[in-house]
Amino acid sequence: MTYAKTISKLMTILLGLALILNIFPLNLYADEAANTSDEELENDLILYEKYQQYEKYEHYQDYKDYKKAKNKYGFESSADRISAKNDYDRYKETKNQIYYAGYKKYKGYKNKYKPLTKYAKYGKYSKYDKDSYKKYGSSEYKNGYNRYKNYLASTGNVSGDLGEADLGGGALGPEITVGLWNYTRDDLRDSPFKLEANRDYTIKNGDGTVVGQVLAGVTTRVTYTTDGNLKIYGSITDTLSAKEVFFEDTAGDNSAIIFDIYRPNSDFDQYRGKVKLRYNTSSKLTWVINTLSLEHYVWGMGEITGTGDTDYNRVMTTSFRTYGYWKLKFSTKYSADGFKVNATPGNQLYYGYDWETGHTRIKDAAIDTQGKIVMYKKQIAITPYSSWTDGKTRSFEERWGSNDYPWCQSVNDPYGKHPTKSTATLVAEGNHMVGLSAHGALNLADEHNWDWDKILKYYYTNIDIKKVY
Amino acid sequence: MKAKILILIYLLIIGGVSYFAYPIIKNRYFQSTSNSEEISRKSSTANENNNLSLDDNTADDTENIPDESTVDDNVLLDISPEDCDSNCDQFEDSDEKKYCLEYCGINDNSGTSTDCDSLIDLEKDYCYKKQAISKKDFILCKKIIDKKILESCKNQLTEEVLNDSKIDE
Repeated sequence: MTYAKTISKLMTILLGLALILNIFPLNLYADEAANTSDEELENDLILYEKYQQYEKYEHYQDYKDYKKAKNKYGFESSADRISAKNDYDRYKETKNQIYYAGYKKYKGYKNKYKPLTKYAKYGKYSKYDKDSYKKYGSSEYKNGYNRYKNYLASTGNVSGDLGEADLGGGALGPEITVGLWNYTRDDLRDSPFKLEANRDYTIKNGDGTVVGQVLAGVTTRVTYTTDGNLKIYGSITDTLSAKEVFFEDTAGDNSAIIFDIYRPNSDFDQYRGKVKLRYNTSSKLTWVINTLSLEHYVWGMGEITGTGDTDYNRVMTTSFRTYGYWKLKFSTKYSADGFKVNATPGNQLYYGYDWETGHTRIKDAAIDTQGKIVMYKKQIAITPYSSWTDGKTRSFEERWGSNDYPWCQSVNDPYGKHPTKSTATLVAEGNHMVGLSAHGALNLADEHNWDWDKILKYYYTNIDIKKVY
Repeated sequence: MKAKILILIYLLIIGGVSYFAYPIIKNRYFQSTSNSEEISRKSSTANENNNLSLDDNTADDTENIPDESTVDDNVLLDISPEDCDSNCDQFEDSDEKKYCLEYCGINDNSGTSTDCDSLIDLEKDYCYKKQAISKKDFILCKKIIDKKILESCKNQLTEEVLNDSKIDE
C-alpha cells in the first residue's frame, strides 16, 4: 500500500507538471480555438508584409535564372527563333542531319529557356536582391503570412472554390481604378485641375515620394508644364512631378476621405478614396483617376437611381459588381491611361460620393449583396444587360459570334418587351438584348415578387452567385 | 493484486502523457524558429527536369535534354493584365516587350497588314488580333495560335462590344 501511495504522489507531481506545461490535448484545442487577439493579429500582419517582401526576393532570384537561361539558350531575333523552330519540326519529321543544328538549338530554347520566361517580368524587383529580405522566408514569417491570409479570407466569409475570382481584398473587395475624365495639355494649362478634401491629405509624385501634406479644406492645383511634367502648386511649394501625381488620406484611411475635385461641366464633384492624375505620353492626355474599393465603386453607380424595387436594385448592384470584377481581372483597354474602367455609360456610369449620398437605396442593395458576383462554373460571368428587348433576349453567339459565354443564352422576356419600338429601333438605340433585360428584371421584381437571385438565374443560364470577398 | 492493477493504470497514464507531451514539448521548446533559418529557394521547373547548370556557358548540354517539355509551346510569355499597368517597361528583351504590348493592346496599331496569312509566327497572331478588334469579329480571334494573345483578343473584343451597353431606369 505504501508502494502505491508513493506512485500516487509521483503521478500527482507528473500530472501537475503536465498541467503547468499545458500539454493536454484538451487544452491545446482550446488554445487553437481561442480568438486571435489584436496583438497577435498585428504581429501576423507584420509577418504577412515581410513574407511578401521575401516573395519578391525569391522572384528576383528566379529572374536571375531566367537571364542566365536567356543568355545561353535564347535567340538573337525572332527570325532566328522561327528558323530554328522550322528546323526543329523538320528534323523531328525526317531526321535529316542538315536540320540538326537548328533542332538542337530550339530544343534547348524550348526546354531550358521557355519554362523560365514567366520570370522575365521580375527584373523590377532588383531592390529586393539583398540578404536582408532572404530571412523573411523562414517558417515563422510563412506561418504568420498564412494565418493572416486565412484571417482575411474568414472576415469575408467567402464561397468555397472561387475559380477565376481570386483577387482577394478585404470586406470591401479589391481596389478598382476609375478614369473620370481627361484633359488635353492645353486644357490643363488653361484651367488647372484643383481639389480639396474633408480630411488631411498627402501628395506624392510620380515616384511615390511624398512631396507635401495638406490640411483638410486647403485647395491644391495641378497644371501641365512641358515634357510630361505636371506642376503641383497652391497648397505646397511649386513642385514638378513626372507624369503622375497622387492624392491620398494622410492617416491612411482612404475609405473615409472624400475629395472635392471640381469636375468641369458636372454636378458630381465629390469622390471617395484616392485620386491621381496620370499623363499618357502616347495620347498626350492627362486622366483624372479615382481609386477605391469595388464596393464603394458600386455605391456610386449612376446607372440606376435606386428608386425601383429592392430586389431589382440587388440584381443591378450584383451586375455592376460582376462587371467591375471582370474588368479588374481581364481588362487592358485603358492600361496606358492607368485605369481599369471609365466612368461613362460605355462602361458603367459612375458619379461617386454625391450620387452615393443622394441615392442611398443603391448603397443598401449593395450592402445586401456585398461581395457577391455572378459566376459560371469557375469563370467570372461577365453580365451584359440591355434596357429593353423585343420580347426575347439574344445569345452572345447570336449577337456577336462567340460561343465563349454560354451563360448568355436567349430566353423569353415578355416583361422586358418594349411596348412600341421595333427590334431595329431598339438595336439602333444600343439595346443589344444579350443577357439581362433591365425592364424585365424590374417588372419581375416589382410586379411578380421574384427574388433578385431568381431573376439573375433566369436571364443568365446555369450560373452561380458566389461571395468572393 | 490491487497494487499491481494501480501500477498498471499509472504506467498507462504515464505512457499517455508521454505520448502527447513529447511532440508538444519538442515543438515548443526545442524547435528553432530563428530568423536565420536556412531557406532553400524552390528550384526552377527547368532545373527540376534535368541536372544541367545554367552557369556553364560552354557545355553542349542540349543532347541530354528530353525532347518534350511540359511547357506550352503556344505561349511565348506567361503574362497577365497586371503587366500592362507599367506599359510593359519591366520587359527588357525587345521581342518580349513587343509581345507584352500586343497582349495589352497598347501597341501602335498603324500599318496593320490586311493579309495576315502572308505573315508568320507571332506576327500573324498580332495581325489577326488587330483585325478582330477593328472588325469586331470573334472568328478572327480563333485563328490565333498563341494562347495568351488569343485570350487577350477575346477579352479586348468583349470589352469593345459591351461598350455600347446602356440602361435607363
